[in-house]
Amino acid sequence: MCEHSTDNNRQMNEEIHPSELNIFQQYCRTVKLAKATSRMRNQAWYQDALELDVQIHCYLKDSGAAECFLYVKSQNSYEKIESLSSRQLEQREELEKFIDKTLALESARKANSLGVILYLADELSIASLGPEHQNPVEINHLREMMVEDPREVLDDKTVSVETHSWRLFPYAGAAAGNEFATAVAVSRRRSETLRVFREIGCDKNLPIRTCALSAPLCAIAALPLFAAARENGSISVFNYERFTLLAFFNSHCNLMMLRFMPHANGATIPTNLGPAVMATATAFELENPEISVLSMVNHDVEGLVVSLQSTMTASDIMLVESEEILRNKSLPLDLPIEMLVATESLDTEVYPLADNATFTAFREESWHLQDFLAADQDELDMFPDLEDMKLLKISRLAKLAAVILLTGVLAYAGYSVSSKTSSEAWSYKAQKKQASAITLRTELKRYEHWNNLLKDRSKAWVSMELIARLSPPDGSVILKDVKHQVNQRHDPKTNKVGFDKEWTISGFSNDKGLEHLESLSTRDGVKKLFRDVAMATGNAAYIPDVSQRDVTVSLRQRPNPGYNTVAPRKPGDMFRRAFTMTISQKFSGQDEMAIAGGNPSSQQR
Amino acid sequence: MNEYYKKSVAVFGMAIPMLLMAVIAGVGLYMSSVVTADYKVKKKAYDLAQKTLMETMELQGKVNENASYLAAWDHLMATETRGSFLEHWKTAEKKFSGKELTKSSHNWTNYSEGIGRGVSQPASQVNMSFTATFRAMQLSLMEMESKLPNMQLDSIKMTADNSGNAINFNTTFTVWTLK
Repeated sequence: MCEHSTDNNRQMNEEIHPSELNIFQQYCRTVKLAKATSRMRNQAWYQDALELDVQIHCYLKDSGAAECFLYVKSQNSYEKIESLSSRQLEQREELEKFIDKTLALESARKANSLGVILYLADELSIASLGPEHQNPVEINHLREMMVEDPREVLDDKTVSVETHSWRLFPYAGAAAGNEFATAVAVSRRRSETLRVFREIGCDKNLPIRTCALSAPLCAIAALPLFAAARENGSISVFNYERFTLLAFFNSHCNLMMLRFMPHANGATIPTNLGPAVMATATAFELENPEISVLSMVNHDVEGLVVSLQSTMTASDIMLVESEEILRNKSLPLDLPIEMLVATESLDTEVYPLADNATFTAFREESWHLQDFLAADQDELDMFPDLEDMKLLKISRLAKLAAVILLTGVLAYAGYSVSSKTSSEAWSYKAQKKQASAITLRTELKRYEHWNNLLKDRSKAWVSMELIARLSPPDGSVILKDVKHQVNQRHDPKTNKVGFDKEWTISGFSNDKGLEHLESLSTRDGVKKLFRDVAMATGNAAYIPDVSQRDVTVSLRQRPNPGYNTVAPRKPGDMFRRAFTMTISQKFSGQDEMAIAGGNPSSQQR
Repeated sequence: MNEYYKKSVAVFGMAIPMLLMAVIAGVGLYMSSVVTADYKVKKKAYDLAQKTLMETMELQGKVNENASYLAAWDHLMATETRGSFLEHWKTAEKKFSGKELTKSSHNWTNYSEGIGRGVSQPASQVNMSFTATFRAMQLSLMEMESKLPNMQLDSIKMTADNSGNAINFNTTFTVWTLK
């Protein structure tokens, strides 16, 4: 949605301070910068100029040209490049050309960032802290206050904070009761140049980070390269184009005080240098301190040495040449010594002086590397910082993860919905199958009902077949009376009605017939009889080997009272034996032949 | 730290999209859950219907299998009367001479005191007496009982006829009826 803003709106938004944008416009600016620039990918946008691999160090020794060196950190190499005139320093086009030419150099061709470090050696101011800020414990707080509101800290409340930039600088060797720090100022004249450098970087989508160092403060930090602690203390004299800076050190070579001495009317040395040095040395009770004289801009300092010799007659006065140090390090001999200390941390084993309180504080707290012309807060506010970009990156990853998760959830939900709505069950319309099922069930029950009732459970002709088989064809058995009765048999375990069949057969037989009857009157014999009847008639009620049925038989025989073979009156008189056979067949209520639909109340009758 | 952009990124880059996606996911899941709930109800009804259908088909199969029998029984029960019952006997008697088979009496009772007693299906009871040879009687009974499967024998008594040439049969049958 941020993409839909018009170009005009974009242009306007880019120039508007974020405090005037609404929260959505602020977000759009962040997104746009993340997309259109390398601010999200290139960490150099958020690093200090001195941390970058490719750096341009510009040394401004006076109002004229700035000597420039290209420093490649990864190779620890310096290369002198084209200088910048004061005119060029004030023209954007010239600065842009300068950047282009520099980046076209072999050693800078692959640069993905550029540090521009300005060494301000053309001017310096020193001021005392206010009497209310004389507590060394507050030094870190004062350092911040000096950046934010210098007037609050300075003794002189009339100083200009618009034209000058102020920073705190500590005196690690200050005795109790003396000033423990001083305020150092440089002109803001070159802040526009650095802002233009940063703008060029924005236009080129190349991080150009800037830094403006005070050359004299760096020069003080370089002392361990050539000085040592002296029992009588020491004084360093840094001679610049327009001023000379005096640094007073105690016996441990800890800085006690800086004294600024301007050069009058184009002179290369200050007037009354000797008396001034002597007065200050006396004030600090430095008896015959060693004096080191450094010509930072290659002036002839013979006059300066003579001035010192005239007042500090007993002191050793040493003229320090930086060429020897640079030669030992294989660096360009015209490289300002300040650049060396800005880019290289001094090894305390090689330079023991670097281990004392002053230089340890420099190394650890970078007092000499304070940026005097840092971008102001309004300029910083125009762009999201590293944390914002990180948050944006995290938000993108979180959104990506959420989108994947959401896609998964929606895919699952979609699949779930799709599979369900496309199933037969989803489109199924209830039909009145129940009625037909009931009808069918009723019909089936009706079938089962009639199938049960109409079973061949008790058939007269089958019963007669059984009776017929009692008398063998040889006539050895004749029957007199046969009575067959079927009676219901109630079974409380079921609602079906069992029944008993009973045959009572009486007749006559001879001995052979009796044998036949006796063979039938056994359990196996009567079962065989029933089985034979079942086989012959196909009537399942006569199958004896069913668990719910029981067949019993009894045979009672006696002599035939009417036995008379001489003058028989009836056919039975011809047989010697009379008999009565009783056969019972019982069907339980659980037998398949049991009668369904028994009505218990009726059964009680 | 630049608070201008942090808040905006947190709100528009993180909170709102997440909230939006959470809402979309919630709506999706809610819709899915609604569909799932509906589906469960429909599936239950469908499964029940399928089960019923299978049962119905099974029932239909059984009913079809037995339809011819049931139709014959229905026809039997609907058409056979006491009058037709006697007609069947007359037809059976005609196959034998009078010496071989003679029905001497018959008596109907409107209920059954035999096999049909206390059974929900209505039944009548018929008592018949015959004078017949064993063979003729058996054949006649076989024909009648095959023709009228609703006849269930309650009792049969066989005694020698005084002539000595035939047997007196006294039979009692339960006859299933519709009323």
